[in-house]
Amino acid sequence: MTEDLQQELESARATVATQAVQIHRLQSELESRGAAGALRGVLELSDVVSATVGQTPYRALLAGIVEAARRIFDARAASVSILDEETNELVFEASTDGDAVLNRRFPAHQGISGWVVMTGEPIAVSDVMRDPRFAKDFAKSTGYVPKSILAVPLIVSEDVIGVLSVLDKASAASFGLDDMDLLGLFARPAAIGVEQARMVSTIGRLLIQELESAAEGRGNEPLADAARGALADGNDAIDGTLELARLVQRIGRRGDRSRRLAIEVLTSIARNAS
Amino acid sequence: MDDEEDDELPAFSWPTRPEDQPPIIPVPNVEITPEWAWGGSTGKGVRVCIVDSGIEADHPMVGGMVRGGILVEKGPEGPIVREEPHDDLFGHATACAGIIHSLAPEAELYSARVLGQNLKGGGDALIAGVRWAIDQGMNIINLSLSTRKQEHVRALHDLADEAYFQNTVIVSSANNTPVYSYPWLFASVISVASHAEHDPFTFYYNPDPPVEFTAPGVDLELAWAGKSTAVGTGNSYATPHIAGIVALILGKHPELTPFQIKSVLYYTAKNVRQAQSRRIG
Repeated sequence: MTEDLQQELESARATVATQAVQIHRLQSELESRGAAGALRGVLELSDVVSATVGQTPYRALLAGIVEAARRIFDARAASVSILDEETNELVFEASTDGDAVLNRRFPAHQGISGWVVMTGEPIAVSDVMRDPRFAKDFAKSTGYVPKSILAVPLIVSEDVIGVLSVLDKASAASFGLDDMDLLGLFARPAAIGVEQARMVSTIGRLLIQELESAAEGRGNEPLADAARGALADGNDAIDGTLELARLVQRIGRRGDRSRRLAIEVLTSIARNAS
Repeated sequence: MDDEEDDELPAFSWPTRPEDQPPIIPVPNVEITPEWAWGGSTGKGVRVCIVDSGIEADHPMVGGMVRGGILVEKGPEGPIVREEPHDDLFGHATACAGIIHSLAPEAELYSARVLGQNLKGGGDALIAGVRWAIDQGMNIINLSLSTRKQEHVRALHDLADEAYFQNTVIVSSANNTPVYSYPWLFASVISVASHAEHDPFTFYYNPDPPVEFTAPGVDLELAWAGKSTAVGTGNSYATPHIAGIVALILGKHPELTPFQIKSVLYYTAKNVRQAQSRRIG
């Protein structure tokens, strides 16, 4: 798993380097051939971004995080859920229990994970099976009711972006203070990795959307259509327009640093396109 | 501080001439021991507000001592406070209430629920809950929560000072992860983290602040939502141990101020008392 992840990340890095070259080439082309050619290039580039460093490294990173957490903490299972701020729901985005629970949603103001999201504090509890709500929450989200759980926030700047949980420590009845400390430390770089992977993925999507509006603004209907098509197509590079819209909105709320980065990218494309 | 705020400050005064000094305040000529501090006390007459996820008032481990509470909800222009009964969204507040009740069985409990749908655990709701508890003149506020948001630091700091000067003791959990969060980092509150022992009256003074005291917080049998129990670990549960002991102290010595309470905790901490007995007066 770790090796796979390493490979994925290396391939992602290589792609990012390739993109830098491509962007440079596009900028040169823009100067020589004008905006239409550049826009076409942006479309191609966006496809490459989405297809290669978009979804796959993000998912691979999450898969690596949960598998590493499960092993480090000698746990039966581990999972990551990410906060959807728009709907105030947590979305399961990785689990060592397989793909069955992926994309399941549950309210972010309830249950153990809800506590973590709302307070930004880790929590370690065990033997909570007698609380019917607890059992129901877990049966819904993970498919089984754990005996012990340790959940910590994934924090970027001041914001909780998700929850990392490990379930059922094999060697003890409950998770202790040391586990809490360690998972807390583990969660910090994990959160940054998740955020960066997500940002790369988001930038690819932003490129296409920006392309669409830039093309529209210039009355370039064929290009706008192409971009709309790319967004609406359900083609493999883009995971559906709803997801795109959600990610674009999410980046807008991500805090100043992320916003500035997004604005920088978009502004530079918009400048080139006009 | 800007001029506008300066204008709102009351006039401060204090005596300067010998003849205007306040009368001598008698200090008991006693050794400050746990027996002196809380021996025989049940916390009777002491009001403790738990600002958290909402106490489940009919949980058997809370002993029917919940006397009131509020819900903080999101309003169009900030949080709205509604006085009404509520349940516990998670189990966390009920766990804290159960610990306080086990130590100080006659202390009155109040619940300020500051977590919930659409609140996103925001500092605004936390501030509204603490504000309410201060306005009610609570003797103790148990805060097993903190906020990381820098935008709330000033408001929380002012509230903590206000509580301190009106003799409301805020007992506040240190964050379980090494991050800056508030109000536990303020000097005006009593900050608490966990140790792994189980005797509920065993607490230690930490000579290396900002965490000032440690209390039991590992693998504790807790009251939990849905009239259930759970086993939990965290500073959240160490904090109500200190809040419960403060309730006992105030039940017996209602005249003590927050800085005196902190001193009594210091003198009665296991590591301080065993190292050297202290005599005041």
